[in-house]
This record gives sequence, structure tokens and C-alpha cells, in this order.
Amino acid sequence: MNNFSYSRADDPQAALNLISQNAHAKFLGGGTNLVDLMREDIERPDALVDITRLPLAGIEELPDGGVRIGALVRNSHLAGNQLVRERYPVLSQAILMGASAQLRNMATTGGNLLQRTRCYYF
Amino acid sequence: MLRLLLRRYFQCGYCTPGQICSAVGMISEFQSGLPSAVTEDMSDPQLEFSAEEIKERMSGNLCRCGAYVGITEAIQQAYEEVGK
Repeated sequence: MNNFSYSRADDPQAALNLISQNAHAKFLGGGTNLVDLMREDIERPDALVDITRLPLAGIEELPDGGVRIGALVRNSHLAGNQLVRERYPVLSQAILMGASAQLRNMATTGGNLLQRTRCYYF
Repeated sequence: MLRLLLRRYFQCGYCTPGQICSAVGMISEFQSGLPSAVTEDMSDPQLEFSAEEIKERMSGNLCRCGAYVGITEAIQQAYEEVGK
């Protein structure tokens, strides 16, 4: 595993500043994908920017009838949200069929959408 | 809970600590209302603590003795006696 620096961003602007300082920096959310790939020497970031303290873990109903899901909402939190369960039950079901409870408690929505192919044979 | 699980449902004991930790975590998630992949009606906030739910929620924990039926019974019993 490569050496890397670690820093924690307190607000979104700080996160953007930290990530732009280094072309090989990566955002760290739940770590369920990135950390595994680093251990396998597939991902080799020089710097990790921890964004888990940013205020992006909300699920809110929008006036136009949609729902906004924060990038840091954990998979299990999203699947268990009553609004999502009532209006988008397939989303809850899909999340609950993936991974294990322990992983779902850590994995984030943003990381889920941005993750690299999980299986390192590829 | 620990007493119930240890009473008679395990064989070699290798997986016991992990099964107990998962059972405690799983029951607390169930009590907080989190559905699982086998929950039939996602929109219903009332969940039933069935054998199906226990099996799905414990499915990441392997037991090499294959004592799953006993483990499921023990968790059901523990939930009924102390979990509610």
C-alpha cells in the first residue's frame, strides 16, 4: 500500500481546495470501495480528503415532488427512510439486496454512484 | 440474550461471538424500523420479526457446523423474551 496523506474537510469549499491541490487526491466517504482497492494496490491516491463531516447527509422533499438525497447519506439510512420506502420502494429494495448490513451502514450514496468497478479482476 | 444463545444452539462455538454481535445489532436495527430485502411491503412501518427476516438479516454470518436452524430459533426466542 502506498503512503498517502489524510486530511478532513470541515466544509465543501475546504474539500474542493484540498482536492485541487493534488492531481492524485481522492475523496473519502464510507471507504467501503476505495480502501479495499488501496489495499489491493489498485487505487494509489497520494492524498485522501475525508468528506464525511460535510453537511451532505440529508434527505429532503422538494416542492416539485422530487426528493433530494445528500451525497453522504448512508445506504442503510436511505433504504430505511420512510419517504423513500413509500414513494420509491424499488430503491429501498435494490439497496437492501446489495452487500451486507455492515457495508450498507458505511457506504454512501455519492460513493455508490462514483465507485470504481468493485471486482478487481477487471 | 447471551444466555439464550449460548444455552444449546451452538456446536463448535467458532462463530458464536460473531453471531451474537450480529444478532444484537440486527435486533436493534429491526427495532429502529429498518426494513430488509425480504420485507414484503416497504411502505409499512410495522415489521414482523419472522424467521425469514432473521435469516436474511443474519445472512452474512457463516456457521461451519450448519447450526442455522438452532441459531434462528435462539434469536427468535431471545427477541420474544428480552428484545421487545
